[in-house]
Amino acid sequence: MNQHFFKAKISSKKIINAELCLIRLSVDGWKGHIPGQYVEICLTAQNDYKAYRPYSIASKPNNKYIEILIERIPEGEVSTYFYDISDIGDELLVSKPLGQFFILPIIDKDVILIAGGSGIAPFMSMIKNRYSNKKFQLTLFHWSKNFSGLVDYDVLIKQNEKRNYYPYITQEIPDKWSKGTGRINIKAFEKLNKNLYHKIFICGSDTFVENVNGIIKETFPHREILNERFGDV
Amino acid sequence: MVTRGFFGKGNDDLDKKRLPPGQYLENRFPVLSAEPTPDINLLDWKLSFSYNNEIMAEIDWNSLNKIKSTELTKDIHCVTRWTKFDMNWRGVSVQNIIKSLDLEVPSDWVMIGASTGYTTNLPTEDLLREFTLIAYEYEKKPITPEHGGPIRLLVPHLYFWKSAKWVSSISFIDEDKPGFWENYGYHMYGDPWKEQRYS
Repeated sequence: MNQHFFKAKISSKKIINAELCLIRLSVDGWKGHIPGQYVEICLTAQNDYKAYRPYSIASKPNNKYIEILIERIPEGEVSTYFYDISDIGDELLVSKPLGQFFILPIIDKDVILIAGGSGIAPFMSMIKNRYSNKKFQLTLFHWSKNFSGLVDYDVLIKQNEKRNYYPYITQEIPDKWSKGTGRINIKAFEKLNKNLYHKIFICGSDTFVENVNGIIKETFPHREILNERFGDV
Repeated sequence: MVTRGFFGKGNDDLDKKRLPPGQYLENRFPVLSAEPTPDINLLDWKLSFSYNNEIMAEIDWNSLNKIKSTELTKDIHCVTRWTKFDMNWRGVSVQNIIKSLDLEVPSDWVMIGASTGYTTNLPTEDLLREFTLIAYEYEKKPITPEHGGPIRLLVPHLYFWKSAKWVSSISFIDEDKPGFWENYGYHMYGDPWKEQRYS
């Protein structure tokens, strides 16, 4: 194996709803990451069977821990371990931070981040990084089935008086919900200044990313569009 | 180090022998692309062969269709760690295309290009292997756009990022150079059995 793995321990586990949980891993010797990067998680069974899966890093860069957002997939051997079984203190292995493409090392241009469901994870890291360059904006669109899936909603709403957070709920719409509803469509982007944005990051399931690409190519022609996908659940 | 409470599955001996190190068995066919899917009409598709920025030959769908095709069933290994067994493909081997175009191979390396701007490098030797195909059918049906259709490269013995979707050019080069993912840290060759994931 040509890859170095760090020893890590689960230091917190937060159940968000029936499908999502946020796991914090304390990683020995961790040196930080670039927002947008992912890690490979390695779980080892007693018979030495190993399972590896990539997960985007959802936490702010630091040298102690990472957080990963787990979406429980009914037959998923790794996601069901994390959601159903894992507990504080469990040990596992974490790769160095990976990916040099879907990343935002500095912000020197206005960018749009578009997330479907748990595709919010890499953007959580980008947003929490609180870039010092206030001249430029990160504008976040997040489509979620339900309110609880809008991870960090309260924090994001507070931080963004300037209206650069656009949450949408597609299925279980709460009674007093006054923000966006319904599936992604071209209207969502009407209010934006079309000349402002240079890079557009899209992260979500295959179907979501395909749909968004179609809309974005029409609305923002000639922009750099970056995709990160996970399989349809 | 054992992870308490983790048992895993899909773990019998047959699978172990067929699975390269660090891979897991996947039954779905995940889509991994860094860029939006292009919309390509089969009748507009062309594949060019070039050397030193000069086009040596071009082939379109009609001429490709006249060359003897190959059907093969192979296990495919993706660097993101999924392996899917017995994937069935049809296409024309690059070997046969080069023969039918009567091309002489001018160098030891190639840079594969796609209509999206995606690139990936290969040794010419690997390009000319029997099972390296310009593929147009998956499971007996046209390859869908998100999986690289209408026409993609298939290099089944290497990690799947080498099998460029929407392939449109093969440029012979004198020295090996990194393509798109190789520039972002992926291995220059990418043999799944040697676990050549990252450089």
